[in-house]
Amino acid sequence: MGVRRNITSNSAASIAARDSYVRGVLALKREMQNLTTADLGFGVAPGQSHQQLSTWEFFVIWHVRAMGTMTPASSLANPRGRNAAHRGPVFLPWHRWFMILLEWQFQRVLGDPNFGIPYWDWAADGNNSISQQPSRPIWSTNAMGGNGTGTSGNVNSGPFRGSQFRIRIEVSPDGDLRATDRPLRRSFGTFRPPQFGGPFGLPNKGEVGDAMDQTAYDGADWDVESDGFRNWCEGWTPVAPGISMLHNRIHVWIGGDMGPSTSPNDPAFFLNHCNVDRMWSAWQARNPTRPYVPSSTESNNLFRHRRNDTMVSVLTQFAPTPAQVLNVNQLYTYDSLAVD
Amino acid sequence: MRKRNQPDYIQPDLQPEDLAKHLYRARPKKAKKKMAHHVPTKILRTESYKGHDVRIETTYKITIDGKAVKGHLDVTNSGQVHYHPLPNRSTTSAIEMARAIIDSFPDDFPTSRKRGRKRVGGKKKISPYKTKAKKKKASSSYRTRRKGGK
Repeated sequence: MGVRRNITSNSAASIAARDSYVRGVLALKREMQNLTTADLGFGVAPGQSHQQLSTWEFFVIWHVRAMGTMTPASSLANPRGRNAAHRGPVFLPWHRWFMILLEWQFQRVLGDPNFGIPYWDWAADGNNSISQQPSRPIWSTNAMGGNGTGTSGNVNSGPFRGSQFRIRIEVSPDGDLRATDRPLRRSFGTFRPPQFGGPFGLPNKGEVGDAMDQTAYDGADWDVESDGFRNWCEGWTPVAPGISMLHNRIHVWIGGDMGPSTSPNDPAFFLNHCNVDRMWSAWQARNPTRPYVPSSTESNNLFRHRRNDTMVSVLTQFAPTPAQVLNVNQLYTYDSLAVD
Repeated sequence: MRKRNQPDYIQPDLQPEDLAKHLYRARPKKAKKKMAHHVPTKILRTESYKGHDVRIETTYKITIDGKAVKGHLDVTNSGQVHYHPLPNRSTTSAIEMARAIIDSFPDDFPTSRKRGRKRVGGKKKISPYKTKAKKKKASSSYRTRRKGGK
């Protein structure tokens, strides 16, 4: 059984988990498969050519396919774009299943059945000043590497620098998958809405606490404007106009490849989602009588989000329901559920 | 081997070739390979306020350098603008979202000269977003390679 640890802790176990995560990412990235972007009908970025895919890219593609599945498809019935992985109640259970499948791949390539994907406690970093946040330990050269540089924001340091780690798939501005071959990109804290004169930073412990205080998992309208823990956690409940909360803000703060739907290209993606899942585990522990909602009796417009609906999986024949991933203690635990 | 005390649904030891097989089978049909494009985007916002039904219909078409941006755009009742190819972000205006699109896709929207300056020598730079990309054919299909062909 995996133990998921704080990637920036100084304990020997956490340092080992960090190093194993980096080794595992590189191993999955170099595990080339008998499948190309041409086989899947992708386009090609300007000046690029079709690419052979690795195991890592499979998970990137799955993420894009799931979020391209609107639930329901009709925009009249689904005006705020709820999809099979985001913007609705299934956000947390879908990403939990997504990470379980990836974690098994890590365990396989590392030969370690007890490996657990580590988490990044970004709220602890968010308690530091904005100017200090880009130099926190997670961005060191023995962890995720640092910010991007230059106009494109290419990452040139750490284990995922351009010479060691290539981005092979991305989406076009229209949202279509296409092949490419370039470095990973990041752009820390550069998104600054015009009404705010200065930079914005990571979420802090106080904001996490606000989310943890929510007493319902989710509620009507079950989308980006509903109330409840899921939406606070996912980040559509804004701190202020244009400033997202929690999970979403991590994507926007890191920027670069964490912006589009191919965000799992950046290994930091899973550290973010592991922390989000940890928050959910903590909320479940504090609210044992609060059920996952919506129930199966809710409208068919909520298909893929209800308790007993199968979730979208393009990598496996089987896919669980949200109900089947509510209790995963036999698969992994966290070294700490002190999230706020 | 299934681990003891695992739920029935767990399928451990999934090998990459199994994942590849499922991913290939789940690929979209030819007609649906691209994301559904919505140009122009029609947005409907409704609300019942003090017993009165409010209905707001707007149409958005964003073009950058004269070319339409075709991803799905949403505007919520609270005025937040969402663009699905940038799934984790919302902005307070469509102009802001257009800026975010330009910033997020530097290969398609390269940094250009300021307006009003004359080009001094050199080749004229063409936006790669306007250039039709050439597709390089793979040497064989996935099906043929799986069967051991060339």
